[in-house]
Amino acid sequence: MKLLTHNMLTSKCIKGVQEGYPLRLKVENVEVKESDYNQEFIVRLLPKIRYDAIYSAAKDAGIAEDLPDSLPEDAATSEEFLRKLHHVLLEIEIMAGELVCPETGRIFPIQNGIPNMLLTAEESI
Amino acid sequence: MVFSVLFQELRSLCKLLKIPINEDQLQAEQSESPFLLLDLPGDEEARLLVQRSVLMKSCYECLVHAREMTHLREHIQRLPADLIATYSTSGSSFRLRIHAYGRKLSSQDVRNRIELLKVFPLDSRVDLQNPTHSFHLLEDYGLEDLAEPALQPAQLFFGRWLADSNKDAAHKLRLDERYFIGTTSMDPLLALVMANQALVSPGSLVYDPFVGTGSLIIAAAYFGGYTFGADIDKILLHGRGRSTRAKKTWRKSDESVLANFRQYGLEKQYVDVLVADATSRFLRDDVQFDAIIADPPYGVREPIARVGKEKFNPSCDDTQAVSSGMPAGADFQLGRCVLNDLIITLVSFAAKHLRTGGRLVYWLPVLQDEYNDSAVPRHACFDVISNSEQCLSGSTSRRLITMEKVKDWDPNYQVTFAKEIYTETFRERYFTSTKDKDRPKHLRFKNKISRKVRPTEPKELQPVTGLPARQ
Repeated sequence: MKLLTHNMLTSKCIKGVQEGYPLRLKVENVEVKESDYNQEFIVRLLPKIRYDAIYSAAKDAGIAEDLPDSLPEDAATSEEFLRKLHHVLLEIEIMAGELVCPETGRIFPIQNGIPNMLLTAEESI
Repeated sequence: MVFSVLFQELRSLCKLLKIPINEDQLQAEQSESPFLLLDLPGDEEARLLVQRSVLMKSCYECLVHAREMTHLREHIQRLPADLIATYSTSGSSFRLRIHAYGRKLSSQDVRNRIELLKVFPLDSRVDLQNPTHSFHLLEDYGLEDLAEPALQPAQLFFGRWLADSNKDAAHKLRLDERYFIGTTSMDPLLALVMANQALVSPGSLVYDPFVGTGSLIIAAAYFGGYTFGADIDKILLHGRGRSTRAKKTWRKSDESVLANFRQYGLEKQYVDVLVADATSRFLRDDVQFDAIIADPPYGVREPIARVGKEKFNPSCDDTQAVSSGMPAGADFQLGRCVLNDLIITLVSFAAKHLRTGGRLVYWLPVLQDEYNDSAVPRHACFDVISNSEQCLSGSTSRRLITMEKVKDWDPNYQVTFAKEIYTETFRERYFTSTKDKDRPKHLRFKNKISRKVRPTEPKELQPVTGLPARQ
């Protein structure tokens, strides 16, 4: 699972959860997979992502050393920052681990890089 | 289906590539001819358009359009000298090619035509392999009677070749060579058409909520989309379970949607797949994709499943719970789900999670004798751009629906459609058509050896046993 995807996921599907965002991340196995840098694409992503959730997920994954803790003013034009963001969003692959609902502690497992967001009938809205 | 979807693809690509076209010219094109004469701004636009298309074949700058062979010579002789001059700049070369559609020309026929074309006053040198310009004579003998072709063509075109289309892409992505396939993997040509209808371009964010083996998103990735998918079938997504290939028993241990992307060098375009119920709200409310492409389950080759209690829809059908499905010990209760619930969910979901200007492209299975246009779900956020039918059996079809989001989402907007059209489920009709000729061929055969064809009484869900241990 990439951190770009993590940024979009919520546990709001669980009955009773208010926000369910961001999901906490527990990493058991992570891989780094290089991917061609596409500046235009990363710039397009800027308004779609919640940066604070990226930063907290990167911290959970132990890869936040290089990242600023909040979105810089010149994000859209700073190639240095955009490359770091590209690395964190698209080159980090969580192969095994857990996503955890911040309100209920419910665990969504990640296996073979694929998160499982299925709920039981009782849990769903 | 062919011609209407071809024009739809053309319109979508012109929109995507910002090429103005004369809609009247398209509307006037009623005959089912393989040739379309269209005004386009220039060479560059024509090339961009055709090279992105998977349904068209090639495009030419039309120099002469004649109704009879005898007029061809005069028309060529009347071509303006300054136009000819642009094709014979110093150092340039050319060749001539002859094509007949709907008839096979003998080599003598071809030689006669080359002789006739000598009236084309181009005085640069000939190069058959790698010319600067390639001029083609295209003869249209019509598609009426291929066994007894007409002696005279209905029309002829003489033009300068500009580009060939991307028709080959479907062959490159063919399923028999694809690493990971399943019972519902989409035909690659149709998947590419869907990606074109969805206006996928490099950098598009594309999502498939019923991703299965990834056959739709691979086409989106081919055109540069960054792709996501979700599917309720965990066993399938992890590449486990029985192989659907002939003579294979179990899947190889590394089959997956990602493996397909790697096979075609498209790994960079793969973002993620998730195990998830398409009807569940696991995405942030403000997530917006550029395109959503989907082939929702029809309940025929795979049962329709969702997580949930039956009270969600009291008129659910008898579709049996997923068999390939849940790991031993899981307590998911697979609800039963009529098709229209999923379509409603899909359209609502797309209304919320597409950017304005983005498109939803999906297949809607219908029963032919009950279908009319009010069966297509509507929503205030969407314009219906196109609706093309593909027949599946004597009484069932599926329709490729393209919808474009034109208005911001509002929670008060509802999906509307004519409920009375969906009186039986698609699956019921597909398997229980009363006329033998209506039944799909494979089923007539099956009927001979087994009586278990019709849906049975609703069963208590049994605990799933006998699956491989959880990994």
